[in-house]
Amino acid sequence: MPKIFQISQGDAGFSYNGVNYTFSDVDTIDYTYNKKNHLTRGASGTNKLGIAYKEGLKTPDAAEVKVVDCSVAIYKLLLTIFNDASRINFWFVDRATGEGFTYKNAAIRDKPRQTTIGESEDTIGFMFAVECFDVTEKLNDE
Amino acid sequence: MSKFTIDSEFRGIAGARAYHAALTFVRSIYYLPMICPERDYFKAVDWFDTLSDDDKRKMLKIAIDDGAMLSEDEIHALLLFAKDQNNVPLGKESVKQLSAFEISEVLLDVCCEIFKKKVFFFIKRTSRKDAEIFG
Repeated sequence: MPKIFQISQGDAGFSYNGVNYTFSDVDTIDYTYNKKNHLTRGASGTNKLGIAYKEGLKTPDAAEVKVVDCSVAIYKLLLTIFNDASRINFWFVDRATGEGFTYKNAAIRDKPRQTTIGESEDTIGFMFAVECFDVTEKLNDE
Repeated sequence: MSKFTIDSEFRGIAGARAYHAALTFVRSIYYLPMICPERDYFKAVDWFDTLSDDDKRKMLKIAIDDGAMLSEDEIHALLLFAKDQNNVPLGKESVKQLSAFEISEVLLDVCCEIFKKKVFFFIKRTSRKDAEIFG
């Protein structure tokens, strides 16, 4: 089972076709890290070093975002990207730690779904999930 | 060449809001006596309507660069009619990427598109006598 992390104070956005979009309000971001190292050894149980192997190399990392108060045009764009199975560069930042994640060439896994009614007729709240193999993590070391 | 496509149809409430935001720039030209040759408001209106599209653009550029201040809502009302490569109107999600100069350029493009049609059509229908009563 991959471990799920949650960011409740974060910023997120994506770029598609050379245009960058930054969500003005993000409720939560859940993300997983699937790769794990394991040790194993023979049934006799005498080897104290063991053999290391990796798990989860075939499984992409995923992130699920709940967006609040977003333009309907952006929602429709994400729906189109989902339907076309196009790729986006998705990013999010944990405001508490300054840690940032970039998902390059990510696919939208879950169809964007409206979760809340927006405050105006032009905005809505929705959630969507992305999957990606090319994840870059940038620590805030300042 | 702008990287944004400007809508040519300004319909609905959003269109009306954009039109009124654009009028703010024209009014600011009227208040610049070194630019506007007419001191009578109605004559100034007629003068602006008779300008070519290129001249209107020059006047509006002066107004945008040096004249009128728009509220955030008014700026958004105009930017809604500029669409990016993905056919998404410029909104709060994408406008953060633009510099102040790029935003001014988009505002200018949208205003020029609005003013390709007649500007002060409602005043033109008003007779001079009515104008005196109201003015």
